[in-house]
Amino acid sequence: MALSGKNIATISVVFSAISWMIMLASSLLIQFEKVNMVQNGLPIFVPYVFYIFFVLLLYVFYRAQVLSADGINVIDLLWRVFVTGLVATLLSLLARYFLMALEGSQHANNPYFLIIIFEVHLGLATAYLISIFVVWKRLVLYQKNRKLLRIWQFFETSFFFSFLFFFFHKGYFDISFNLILGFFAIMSFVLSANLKWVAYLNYRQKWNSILLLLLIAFYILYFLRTIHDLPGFIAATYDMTQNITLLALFAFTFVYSVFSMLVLLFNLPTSSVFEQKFEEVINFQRLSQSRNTGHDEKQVYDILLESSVSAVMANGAWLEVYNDEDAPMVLYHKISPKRRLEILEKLQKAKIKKLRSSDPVKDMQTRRFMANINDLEYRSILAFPLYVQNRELGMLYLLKDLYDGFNKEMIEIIRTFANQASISVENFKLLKEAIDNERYKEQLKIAKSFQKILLPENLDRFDDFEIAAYSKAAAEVGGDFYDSYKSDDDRIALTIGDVSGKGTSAAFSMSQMKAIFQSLNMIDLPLHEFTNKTNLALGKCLERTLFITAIFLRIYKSIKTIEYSRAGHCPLLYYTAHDNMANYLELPGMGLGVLRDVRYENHIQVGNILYRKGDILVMYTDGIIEARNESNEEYGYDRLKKIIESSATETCEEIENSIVKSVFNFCGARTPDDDFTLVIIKFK
Amino acid sequence: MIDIKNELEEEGVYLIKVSGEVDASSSIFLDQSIGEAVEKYDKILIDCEKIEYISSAGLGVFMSYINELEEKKIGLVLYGLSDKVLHVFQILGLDKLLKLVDTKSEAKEFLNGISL
Repeated sequence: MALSGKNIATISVVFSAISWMIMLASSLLIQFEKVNMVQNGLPIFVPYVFYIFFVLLLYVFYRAQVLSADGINVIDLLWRVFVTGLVATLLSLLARYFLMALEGSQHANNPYFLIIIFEVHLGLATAYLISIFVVWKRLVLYQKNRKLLRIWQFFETSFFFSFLFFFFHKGYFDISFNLILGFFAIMSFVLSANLKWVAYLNYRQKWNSILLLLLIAFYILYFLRTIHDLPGFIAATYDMTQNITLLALFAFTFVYSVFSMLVLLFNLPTSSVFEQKFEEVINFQRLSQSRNTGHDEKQVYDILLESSVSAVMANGAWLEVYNDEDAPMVLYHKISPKRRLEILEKLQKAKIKKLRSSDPVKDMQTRRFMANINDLEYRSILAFPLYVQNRELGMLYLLKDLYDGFNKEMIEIIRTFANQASISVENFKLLKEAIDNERYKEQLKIAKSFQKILLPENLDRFDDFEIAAYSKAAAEVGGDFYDSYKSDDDRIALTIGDVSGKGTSAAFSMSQMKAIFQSLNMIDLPLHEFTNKTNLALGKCLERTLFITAIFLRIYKSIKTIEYSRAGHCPLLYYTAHDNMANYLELPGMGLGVLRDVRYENHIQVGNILYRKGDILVMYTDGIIEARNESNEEYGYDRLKKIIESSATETCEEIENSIVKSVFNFCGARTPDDDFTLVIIKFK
Repeated sequence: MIDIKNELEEEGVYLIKVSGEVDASSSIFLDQSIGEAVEKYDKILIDCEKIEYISSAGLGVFMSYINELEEKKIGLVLYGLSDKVLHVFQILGLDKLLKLVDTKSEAKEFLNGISL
C-alpha cells in the first residue's frame, strides 16, 4: 500500500516520539544502574541508538511535511521554521522555569530530574534543527543542477555516517573530531553559496526574510547555549560532546542562516531592478499571450500602455490608435486629454532627437523619436510607433519629469513591447479574418446545397421526346437555372434562364424566378401573358441593376408544336432532321426586369415550331457562347451549331456530352469563368 | 480591365469614352461615370468603339439608367459598338430602349435632333 505524505508524517512523528521516550527511559535506567552499581546493565549506547531513530524519523516527518506543501513560497517556509523555533524555545523556557523554581530544593540536583530536563531540550533542539535542515535543503537546492545535487547528497550521507562516529570514538575534541567538524563547517560554507531564491524575492519579502532569519538564527544560538549550559550536559549518561551530528547540524543551520541574511541585506538595494526586470518579463508574456485568452485589441493596448509606463517609470503617457476613418482612439495614463494636446503643441517647437541614426529626419513627426520639452510638469518625451505589416497602427507617447529621462535600455524594452503588441494585434486581425472566411465558406456551402435543390433532378417529359440537362456553376453558386412544369397530359412548360451577375446574389434571384415560374404556370395563361406577368413579378423583386434572361417554351404533344418566347435570352438552337441543319431562332424579345412596367408587353413575341422526329431543340446559356480559350477567343455560336449538326444522330445525353466536351476542349487550361447550362430535347 | 475617360464636348455635350472589358467588377466605374454625367448633363455620348467585351453586369448598368433618362429627358447615345457587343445588346432587347448608332457624327446628329 502506498503511503500518502500525510500518513508518512503521522506515522513518523508518532514513532519519533516513541523513540524519544525510549531514549529518555533508557537514559534514566542507565542512571539508575549507575547509582545502584548494577553490573552488566543496559549498554550505554542504547539511548544514543534511539536518539538516531528519533533524528531519522523527525527528518522523515519534516520532509513529508515540506514535500506536501509543494507550491509554498520561501517566506512561508521561513515562517514555518520560525514558528517551530518559537514553540521549541517557549517549551524550553518553560522547562527551565521549572528548573529555576526548584532551585535550592533537593530536587534541583536530582540526577533523574536533570536528565529529563536535558532530554527534553535535546529533543526540542533536534526537532528544531531538523525542521530547519529540511527547509534549508529546499532553499539550497532551489534551481538545482546535477553537480549541486551530488554535493548535497554527499553532505546528507555524511550526516548519516556521523552518527557512527559515536561508536568508534571516545576522546574529547581530539584531531579526528575536529577534522570531521571542520569538514562539516566547510561543507556548510560551500552550500551556503547557493542562495538563488534570494533573487526572486521583492523588496518587502527580503525584509521579511531577514527578520525571520534573524530570529531563526537567534533560536539556534539559544539552543546551542542552553544545551551546553544545562547541568545535564555533563550529567547525561552519555557524552553530548561526542554527538558530532548535532554539532554539525548546529553549524550548518546557523551558517546558512547568517549567509542568507547577509546576502539578503546586500541584495536589498538592487532588488528594485530585479523586480523591474521581472515585471517586464511578465508584461511581455501578457502581451504575447493576450491573443489566446479571449482578450480583444483594446486590452492589448491597455497592457501595452501599462507595461510601458512601468518599464520606463513614466510620469504620464498616452497611446493613440489610428482607425481607418475616425479620429484616433486615445488611451490615457495619468494625463488629461487637454494636457495631451498642450504637449503635442509644445512638441512642435521641441528639438527632436533621433533614436537611431538610420531613421530619416524628415518623418520625425510620425516616427520614433525622443525630445526634451518645455513644460512645467514633464521634461522629456519618447514617442514610439506601432506597425502592423508596414502600416502604422498607432503611436505611443511616454512622458517623464526629468530631462533626457529615457536611456537606451528603456527604448529597447519599449521597442520590444511595441513589437509584441503589434504582433498580438495583427494576430487578432488575422484570426478574425480567418473566422469570417470560415463563416462565408459555410454560408456558401449552404447556398450551394440549397441551389442544387432548385435545379430539378428530372425534367418533365412526354414519351415523344428525350430530354437531358447539364449545369455547371463557375463559383460555388451560380445564376443559371432551368425548370419544367407539366400542366396536363398534353402540355409541358420548360424554361432556361440566366440571372445577371454572379454568385450568391444571382442564386438568390434565381430562387425567386423559380417560384414565379412555378406559381404562374398553375394559372392557365397564354404564353404572351405568362411572359408579361413573369416580368412584372420579377420587376418587384430584382435589384435595380439586375435582370434575368430566359426562354419560356411549351410543348404541346397532340399538335406536335413548340410555342416559345424569348425574354432577352440567347436564341434557341433548333435542328431539323430532314435537312440536317441547325439554326438560331432569333425571335425579338427583351430581358426580364429591363422594363418593369406595362411597356414590356410590347416587346414580347411568341414563336411556334412544328416538331418532327429527329429534331433537336437546344437551350443554353451565354456561358457556353462566351467561354474563352487561352488566346481569348470565344466559343461562339458557330461552334455550337456545328457540333449539333455533327452529333445529331446521337442520343440526347450523348449530344450533351459532346457539347460539354467540346467546350472544355476549346477552353483548354483556362477554366470557364461563367456558369454554363444546357437543356437538350430530342424528338422521337 | 476598363478605362473610362470623361470630357466635355462642345455645346454642352458630355462624352464618356469606355474601353476594355466591362465585367462585373469594372462595371462599377462605368456606373459611377454615367451616374455623375446624368446629374449634370442632358446630352451624353458614350464612345463604345474600344469595348472588347460586355458582361451582363455591364448591360445592367445601362439598363438601370433607362427610366432616369426618360424621366429627365436626357439624350444618351452609344456609338461605335462592335458587331459582337451590339449583338449582346440586341439579344437582351436593349437596342429597343437605348439609342445605338454607328458613328460619332450620327450620335451628335441625333442629340442635336432632340434639342430641336
